[in-house]
Amino acid sequence: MKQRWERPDFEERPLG
Amino acid sequence: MNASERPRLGRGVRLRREGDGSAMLLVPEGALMLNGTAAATLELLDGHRTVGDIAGALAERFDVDVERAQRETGELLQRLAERRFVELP
Repeated sequence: MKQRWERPDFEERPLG
Repeated sequence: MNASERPRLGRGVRLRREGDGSAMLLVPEGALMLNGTAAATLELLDGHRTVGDIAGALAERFDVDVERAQRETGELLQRLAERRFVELP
């Protein structure tokens, strides 16, 4: 069973 | 990004994977919270595998064809390379 693909993405977080 | 590129993480950049499946890329300026496919992509960066190799490995694991995997991982890596979080030796 393959995992669901989604567009690779990221969310930036400042070092806070 | 060319399929024959062999990307690796930049200097001072680390991938941190947690037991709950979440992942973050630690960079000097802070951190990037990664979605699952971004984390799976970055785990495969070793400076030896090509972008094409990485796309092939992802296509085996996820319900995506190689062409789309290569296009979308290439876009991710390009964004990260522009900020030097990923290097292309």
